[in-house]
Amino acid sequence: MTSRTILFLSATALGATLVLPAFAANAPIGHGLTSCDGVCAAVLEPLDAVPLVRVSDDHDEEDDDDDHGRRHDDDDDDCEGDGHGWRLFSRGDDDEDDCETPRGQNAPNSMNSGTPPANGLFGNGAAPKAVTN
Amino acid sequence: MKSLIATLALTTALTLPGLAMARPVTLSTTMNNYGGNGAYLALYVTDASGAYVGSLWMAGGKSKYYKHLTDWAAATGGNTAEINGITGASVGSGRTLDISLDLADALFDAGYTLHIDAAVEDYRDSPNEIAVPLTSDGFGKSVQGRRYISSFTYR
Repeated sequence: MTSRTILFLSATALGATLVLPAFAANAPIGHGLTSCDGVCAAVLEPLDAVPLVRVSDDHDEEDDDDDHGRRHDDDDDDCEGDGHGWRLFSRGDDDEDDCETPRGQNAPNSMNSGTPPANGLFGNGAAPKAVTN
Repeated sequence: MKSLIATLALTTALTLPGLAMARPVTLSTTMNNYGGNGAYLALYVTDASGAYVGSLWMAGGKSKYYKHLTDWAAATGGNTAEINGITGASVGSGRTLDISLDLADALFDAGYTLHIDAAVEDYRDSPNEIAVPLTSDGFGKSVQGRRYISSFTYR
């Protein structure tokens, strides 16, 4: 293999490495979550159709009410069906999601998991960084 | 030597368009001194027809409160998959939230609008507190909120 061939191949590999992520991130802007098709759809769509069922609830809502010192709290289960007001919460647990959402499509992966949704808004696919001053 | 120059030209031509597809942006949101607990904020984008495109950030971690971000909730059905990986803490009274991200270049000067819904415990919900067109001219220009947000800037 000549040095020219080696040079050409290495340059091509370099170019592909730099460009492919950018093209991948340039998906059509819109609701990227529905862009699953082909093999992806065959695998994932049956999972979406299966409802998540809570099989056990052995805790007492009253016993687990840890809203100590909150100003008022007359609604122990406000994760669903309460169309009024906030459930009061203290500043200390702002980041703790105590709503009983099942793990799955209605539960966030984590806080700042590093993988933003594929909605076409994030140019390079990198997660945003947030700082509060 | 000629092959080296040709190779460099090729790789440069392939690389530059990729770099131009994203624009580094800082979204800076300063809250008023409203005196209440931390505000929940939903930052999201709509297209020229007003249709929801996607979310950029959710400030506030408890999904049970997301319904108070009424416009965002109406557009997404409260689906938290929309904000996987882009969720952080709520923003306190008088504080500033700076979000650094790379926005797709196609969003600018194309009719897209960035919205912020706000909600604070025991206070009135404030949907569409901010609605600012994403334009090149809008960089660095401060926009005033209606209720809880003192100013918003993208730069």
